[in-house]
Amino acid sequence: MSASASFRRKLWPYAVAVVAVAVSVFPIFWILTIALKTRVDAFAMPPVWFFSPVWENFGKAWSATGFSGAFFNSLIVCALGNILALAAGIPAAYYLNKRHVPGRRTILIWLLISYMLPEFLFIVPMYVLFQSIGLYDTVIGLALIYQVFTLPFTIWLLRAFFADIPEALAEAARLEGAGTWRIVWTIYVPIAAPGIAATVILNSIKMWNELTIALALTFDKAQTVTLAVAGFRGYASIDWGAMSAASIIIILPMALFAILAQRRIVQGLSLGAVK
Amino acid sequence: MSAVSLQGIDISYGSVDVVRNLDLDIKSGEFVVFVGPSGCGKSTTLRLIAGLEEGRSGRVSIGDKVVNDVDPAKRDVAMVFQNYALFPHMSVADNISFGMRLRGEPKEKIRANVADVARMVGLSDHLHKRPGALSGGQRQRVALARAIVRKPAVFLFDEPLSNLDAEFRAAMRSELSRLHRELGSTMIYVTHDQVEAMTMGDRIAVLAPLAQTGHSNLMQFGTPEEVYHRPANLFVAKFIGSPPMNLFDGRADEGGIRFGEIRLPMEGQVPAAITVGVRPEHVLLNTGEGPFMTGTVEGTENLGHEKLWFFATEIGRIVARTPDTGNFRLGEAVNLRFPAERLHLFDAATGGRREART
Repeated sequence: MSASASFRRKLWPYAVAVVAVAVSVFPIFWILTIALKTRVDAFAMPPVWFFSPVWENFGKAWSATGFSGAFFNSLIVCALGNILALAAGIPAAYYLNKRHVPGRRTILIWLLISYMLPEFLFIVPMYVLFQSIGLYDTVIGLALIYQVFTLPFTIWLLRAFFADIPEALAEAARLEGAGTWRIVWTIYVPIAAPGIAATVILNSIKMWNELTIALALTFDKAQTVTLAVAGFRGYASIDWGAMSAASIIIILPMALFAILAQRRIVQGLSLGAVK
Repeated sequence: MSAVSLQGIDISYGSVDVVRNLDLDIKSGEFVVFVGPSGCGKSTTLRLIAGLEEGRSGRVSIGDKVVNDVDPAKRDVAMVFQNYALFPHMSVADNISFGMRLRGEPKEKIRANVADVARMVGLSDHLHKRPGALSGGQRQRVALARAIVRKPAVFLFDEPLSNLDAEFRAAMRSELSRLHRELGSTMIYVTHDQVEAMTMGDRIAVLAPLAQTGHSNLMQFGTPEEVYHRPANLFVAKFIGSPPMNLFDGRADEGGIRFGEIRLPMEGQVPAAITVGVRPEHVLLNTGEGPFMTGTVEGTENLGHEKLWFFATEIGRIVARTPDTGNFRLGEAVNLRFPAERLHLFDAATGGRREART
């Protein structure tokens, strides 16, 4: 093999990676530039590549009606949704790993099916139900309805993490007098912590970005960030600058979360891959 | 310290019987080894004693109490698992003290007990470490310490040395024996390694898979000497001893038995088909008197302190073990003699031991 052929061969993967990154990052880059440009520059044709950034769009976005409120709503929904998913998902995952649970397979398959169903299927019946029991337009209601996808996902993922924990650990703890709750909280949860962290991150991203259900089941009090961004579309005009700034603001927490937790996610998702 | 008694134990997984009709009386303070090939139910039986497995029928007693319905934690047993079952997210000290902390014992007492036990098993310098930072042998010690600190009536060991390398295993064997002498507790030890069984056990329970025996798992329960020198049946004869006992077919012949050119008188009813066994170290090569058969040297293995010789004979292959002094050439014809008092006779049909009178 000639030197240049070997070089080309090595170059290939990099070229693919560069293209992939460029394609996936371009929308964010574009939004960012719009958020940082003046209204005039934002839609100049050809695009203005060099400009001095302006920050006023961010201020405008944050102080726009309902945006900061929606931001905190989303945080609360995420936190609550994760708490609910873990509170039910951890014990469920533990039990569904046991051999002798009757109907185990059926339960697991149903969970998977409900995870795969499109979300809007739930919306109409839930709209009626939520209206009648007072959960419509509440963050608690949203966190609850989000369990439709977070809980199955949590159970399936945690079950895989728990399955990597040798059963002898539970037995050893049992011989020492630990009951099931104690075994789950003092043995399984700490050992599967990277896996739980990965689950929380993936659930958070899903809930943070959710639009369909939030659109149907909230009005103004429990509005989430995705709706708030859509709200920048006025009757007559769209404030593209503020909308882009708002988009950047809502991308930030998840991006930060992902960067900080990247090692955990990788560690979690590869847990047990190497003994 | 407590006796352990199993009566009429049956255990099955679903529709598959694993243990059937097992009776076993283990004396207080005894070191008993359950040995057998995989699938013989040895671990299952141990787990039944611990309470981690439920039997279909039968009675388990520890001390003078029937424990069938007693929670594992209240049976006063401690178990050492094959894969150590250490809690990877806790320090060595926390692993050892897990049970004491759970029971809410005073901090001072926990610290003192942990320090004592750590000293006993040589872990004093490692108490703050996580199991992941320890060698296999050290992890095994942590598992051991966690068992010892409970001061249980009965210790249960489930193949605890099988993950260690040979060098460590020998050291841990003698350490466990020392521990048994010091603590005087009843210990039940499961292994498939007959060397462990022979070297450690006060008594050995040889178990066989039901698929091989059909009726019951327990093939013999006796001291290492009994099991080795007076195997109760063909299964034990084949399983205990390395290299295994030479076994060959014999037949009834005028009030005795005959195999090859050798005839042996036998009293009582002689079964039509009999299996004759002799341990490799009891085969005499070109020495002794009386009837012999000729074997041709097929091969040899030099183990340093001894040699194994493989002979082709008219009744099949025979292995002999000699001190490293003997020397034969490949293909050389050697006179093989089998001292009558060293022969083991088994009914070929039932596999049961027969006593020969000569």
